[in-house]
Amino acid sequence: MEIRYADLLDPPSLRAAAESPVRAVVHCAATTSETKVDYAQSFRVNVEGTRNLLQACQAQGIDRFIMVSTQSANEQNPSTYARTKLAGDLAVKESPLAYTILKPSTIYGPGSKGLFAKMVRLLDTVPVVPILGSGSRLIRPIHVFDLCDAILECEGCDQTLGKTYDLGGRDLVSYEDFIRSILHARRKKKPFVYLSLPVCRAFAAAFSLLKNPPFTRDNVLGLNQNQVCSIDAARNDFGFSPRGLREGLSQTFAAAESSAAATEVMDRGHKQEIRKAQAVQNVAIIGLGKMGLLHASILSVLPSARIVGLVDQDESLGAHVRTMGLKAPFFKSMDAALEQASVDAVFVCTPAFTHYPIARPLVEKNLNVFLEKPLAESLDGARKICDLLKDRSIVHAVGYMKGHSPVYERAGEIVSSGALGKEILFRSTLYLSQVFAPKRGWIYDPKKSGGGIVANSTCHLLFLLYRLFGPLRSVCAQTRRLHSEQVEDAATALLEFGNGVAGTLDTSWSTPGYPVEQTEIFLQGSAGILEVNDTRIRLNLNQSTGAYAKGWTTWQRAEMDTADFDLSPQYGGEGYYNEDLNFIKACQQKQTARVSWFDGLKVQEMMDALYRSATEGRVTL
Amino acid sequence: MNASPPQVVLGTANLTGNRLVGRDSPVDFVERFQAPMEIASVFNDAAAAGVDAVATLNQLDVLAALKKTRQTFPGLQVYPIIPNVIGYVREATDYGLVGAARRRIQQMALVDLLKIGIRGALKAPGVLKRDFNTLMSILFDVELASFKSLKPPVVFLHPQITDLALAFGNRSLFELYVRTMRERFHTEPGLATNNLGWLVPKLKEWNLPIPFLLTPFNPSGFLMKPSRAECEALLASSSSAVIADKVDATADPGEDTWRYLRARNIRAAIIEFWNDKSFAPTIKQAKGLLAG
Repeated sequence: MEIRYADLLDPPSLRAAAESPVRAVVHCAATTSETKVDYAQSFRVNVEGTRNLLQACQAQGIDRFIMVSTQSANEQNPSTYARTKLAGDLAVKESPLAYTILKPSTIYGPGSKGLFAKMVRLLDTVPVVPILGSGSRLIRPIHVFDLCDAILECEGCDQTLGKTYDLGGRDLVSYEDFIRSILHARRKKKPFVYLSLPVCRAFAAAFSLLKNPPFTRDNVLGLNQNQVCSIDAARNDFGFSPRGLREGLSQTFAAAESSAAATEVMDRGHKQEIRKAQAVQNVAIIGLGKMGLLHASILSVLPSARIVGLVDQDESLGAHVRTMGLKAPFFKSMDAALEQASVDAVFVCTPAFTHYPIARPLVEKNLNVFLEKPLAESLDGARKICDLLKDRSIVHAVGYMKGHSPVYERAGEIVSSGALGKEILFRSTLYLSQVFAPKRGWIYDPKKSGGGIVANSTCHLLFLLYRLFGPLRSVCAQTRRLHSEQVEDAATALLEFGNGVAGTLDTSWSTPGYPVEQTEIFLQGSAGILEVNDTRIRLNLNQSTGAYAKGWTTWQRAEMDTADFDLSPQYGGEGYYNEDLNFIKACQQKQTARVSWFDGLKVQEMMDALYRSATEGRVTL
Repeated sequence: MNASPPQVVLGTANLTGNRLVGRDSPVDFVERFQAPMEIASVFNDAAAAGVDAVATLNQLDVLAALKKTRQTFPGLQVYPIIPNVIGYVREATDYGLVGAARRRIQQMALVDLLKIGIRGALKAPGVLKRDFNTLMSILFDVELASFKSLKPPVVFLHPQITDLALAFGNRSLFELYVRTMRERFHTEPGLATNNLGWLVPKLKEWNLPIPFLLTPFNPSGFLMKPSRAECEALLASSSSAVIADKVDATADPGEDTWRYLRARNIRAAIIEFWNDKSFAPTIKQAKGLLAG
């Protein structure tokens, strides 16, 4: 993409700018009445200027035209900007060009010009923040990079021809919440004052005398307009997947702090990178049991993923899944799926002992692979799986979903912040009411699953301990069978980690009172204590440290959950959603997934040491 | 049958240890409420304080307690949430999805089994082919057999089934559910969901009006997917009566919670039992402010 300069009111300059080899034009230019409302000038630039550009394109044989319009351009908005942009859109629709019209909501992002930059400067300087109107009108702010992505995607997508798309960010927020989010991102707290519409109009009239007014009459006219735009059409047609507001603002201000670096990124052809990073990932799922269906449901709602194959050796299960509404093609083998479908990534949701034979050919074909936990049925199996990665650069992940749970993520942030001082002792538990009689199935066969409660459930807790404290140094464990014939139902262990912290682990799936699995970690540090379980964090500090206050602080799960979809909140559904989203994003951007096979290998080493210790006594790694 | 919207509904997730938000150990609750008499005692207190209905999964101890309470409070309604996915998922881990369904059927009373058996026999081809909707239809029969004598005015589809069908675009399941509830069970269909912002547009697209939705709605936005703002905006355009769930997402629900719901024209909420002291006052406050 190249920027060419011309004057919308100077047709010869437009024709010159549109000379070959230009294939497509993206029209972003307009006058916004940002400083002064001038209907005649707005009409000339936004309507006649657009017509001039359309004619220049026709004259130079350019067929593709992308119009960047605005959510304001609608019949209900009486402002000059809105009316003239709407007329400009009509001119595009009446032209013979292959057009696409994009209507973004409020745009934000790095840069020193435009409405958002003006707002930020104002928020930085005023002691009290004026909220124009009630502040309750809804908008869907869009990051400028997401808008750029959309433009690039549309340009090469025939499905968008002749269509108009609403574009916005992932989050629909009130105007007031938008302002609050900006203040939060800039670590500022300021009181608000609410200006009613008549007051705003009066101020706008007074400000019109200024050269650069903080807001204009046009701004006020748009104040009672919600911008509840639906981005579904853009999602469906070209995989539009915008970022959330919190993430976007944080990137915006990080970029502003390092604007030179940001410019360099743009100059490096950042837009091309974005295009690659936005490509929808074609996914196959092997194993259509409970976990396969769980991942299928999440992948079905992720706009960045498309299920192109369902694989299971049991054909009747394939038919069963199709009757659930899942219409992706079914294959009896992965080979058949790879022959007939274009696959970027594979979710392996089969028993642990099958992971290596399934993963090997996939890795050899350089496909990205997600393996359900545990990585393998044995340490040797896990090592063989990681050995497959030699000289390969695939994206790989393992399903320790608690690593994506916002509660445990926050707990990890607190520990790594050093607020607790030196970590000294911990105790950890995982209980579940599941086994009260001998049971059948691969889970209870150690050759297939790797063990009992430890291999099947407590591996999640071991992963959390590894994330909090690093590699395990030694373990002294006991395991017991209560009801199962071949695997342990309960285990207790004394663990010591490389960072010096030591503690206990106690676990059982034969404990009554836990219809849903419950995990808990208690950590004693030199400067306080931390308790975390699946539903909340409690922190007590001896003194305030950084962002954390002295005394008790509690965070409920509800305050941290940001997943867009949750199939199974009872079973940590947000962790599964975030896990799949992270893997798909990692595939798009060719980055390391948050929980990789190497993390899975570390957990497998912990499990192996625990099992060995149960027969050999203390084991040192 | 046309059901009128309730105001205050007692949830039973806490009583049975299936909570999503954390305070004290669930074991304390499981221990206390292992006896139906203890559950009935909570139901009695709730009914006396003004609760209109109890929402529950198909759990024998809860239903036994409910039947006992109805002897004193015959107006106390029940809103079944079917099928009991939590029990089903646990069994599916051990026996597979189809095996778990088979086990559930095996646990039924002989009379109900015979009735369902006749209907089931007619559906044999679907069962043999593992047709999901056929299996679900049998599960509806199986689960509602336990609620028969309680005559529920509304029956909710469990959120995991609703949301699974939603994710897979299984419109026919929703149609089957609506038809089955109305025609066979003479009750109103309701959907429980944890993904309201995804469900409402889909129901509109499918032109499938559902009279009742049971879904998280709370000031903290917990489980309001994909976002609180989107759920709030969609609510205004939905014709369904919403019963707000997870109103205790971050703290005991209070005046602010009920005012938040009222401001969004939500007149009904699920209240869970947390402790004896705050229970009745919370119900009374909700009753007053939601009606307000």
